Amino acid sequence: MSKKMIVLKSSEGVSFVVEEAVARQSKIISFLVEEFPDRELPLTNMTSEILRKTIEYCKKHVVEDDGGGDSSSSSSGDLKEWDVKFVAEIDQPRLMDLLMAANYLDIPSLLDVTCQKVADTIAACNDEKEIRATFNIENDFTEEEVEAIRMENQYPI
Amino acid sequence: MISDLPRDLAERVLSRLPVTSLGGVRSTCKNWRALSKDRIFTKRHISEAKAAAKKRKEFQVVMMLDFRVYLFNVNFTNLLNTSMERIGKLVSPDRIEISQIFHCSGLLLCITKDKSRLVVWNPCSGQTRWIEPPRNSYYDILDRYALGYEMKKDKYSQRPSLKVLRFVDDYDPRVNRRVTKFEIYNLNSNSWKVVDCVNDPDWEIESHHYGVSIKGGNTYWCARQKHDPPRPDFLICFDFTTERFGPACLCLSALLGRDGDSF
Repeated sequence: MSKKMIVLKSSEGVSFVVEEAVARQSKIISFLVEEFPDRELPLTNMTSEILRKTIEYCKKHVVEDDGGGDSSSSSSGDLKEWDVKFVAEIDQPRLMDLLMAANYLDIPSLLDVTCQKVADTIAACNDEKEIRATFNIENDFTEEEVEAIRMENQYPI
Repeated sequence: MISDLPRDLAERVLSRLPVTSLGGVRSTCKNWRALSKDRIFTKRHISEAKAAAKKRKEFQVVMMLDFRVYLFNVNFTNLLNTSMERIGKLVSPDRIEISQIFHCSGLLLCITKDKSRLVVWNPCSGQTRWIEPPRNSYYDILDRYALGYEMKKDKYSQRPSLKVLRFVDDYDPRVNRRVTKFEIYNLNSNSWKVVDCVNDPDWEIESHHYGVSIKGGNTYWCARQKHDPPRPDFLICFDFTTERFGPACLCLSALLGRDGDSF
């Protein structure tokens, strides 16, 4: 029996044909598939690039049922390694988009790895200047606030 | 852009940071500053950190090595695979040497080897506060120290007043007499004052007995009567709120408090 396929459409109107089991890792898609079977699902706030990445992640993480039992496509150690490599290859702005996509589509494991990657990147920064430079954040403090922070830093609790 | 993340996602990311990174986060931008000061965020951060440390079988220890003080992360996965990583260091302007430390609620009072200065260090945030000796005075080799805090919050700064107790009650061979002096430093008001209710106590704390800070901000010592015929040692407590010594009333659950203090 052939596997059931569904169609996801990106914001640019590009269609992606995906196995239902792969797409169902998103709780939102899982819900939509049941509500609107045999219909193309438009994901208007996701670019093709991010949708492609999301599908790549879901394909890797799909639990294959045809072997009987609950063996996943890879062992959990390999999968963890794959996840680390997967997020390491994505640049900063796209990582944010992927994090938002994981949140929007409700894919807990993808949200988990993307959040962790961002947190690890912040933790690797030496100070606030490096954090601002890495993430392109504007220093929006007033002079008074800078002074307040300086005073606060002198008080060790 | 990370600054475009909705609040709940930003919170989700920032709550995964090690506590040593929170100082930087607070100083990055207005949004993160507001978020990191939020009580709900703090609770979430603590529970995430505890869960992560438990999962990774990690804990932190403070160590003194060669007169320097460090914070280490110990990973205790199994007996054959234990690793230690230095995650913090007391940074002093002129590589000053530390010879004594005293712990209270995650903060460390460090006394320099040459007895010239004191510093309160938060090993997690890396913040330090150097304390000068009182006017017309100097830190002495006979000085004993304790760190504690008031239970009520300071009305101006809205945080508990952190205080350092400095005392000497010992025979000083240099002047051929017993010297007794109790002073307290308030970190909110940056000032020293004499604790006037203890002039000539009838008890003493032997120099090899160290004080212990237990949940609640007060410090406890093992003390003994000075003049009476020998009696068993007893516990004495310095209350940092009333700034008085008194007999300690401790129940076992307070002694076994779960905030990491130990004898």
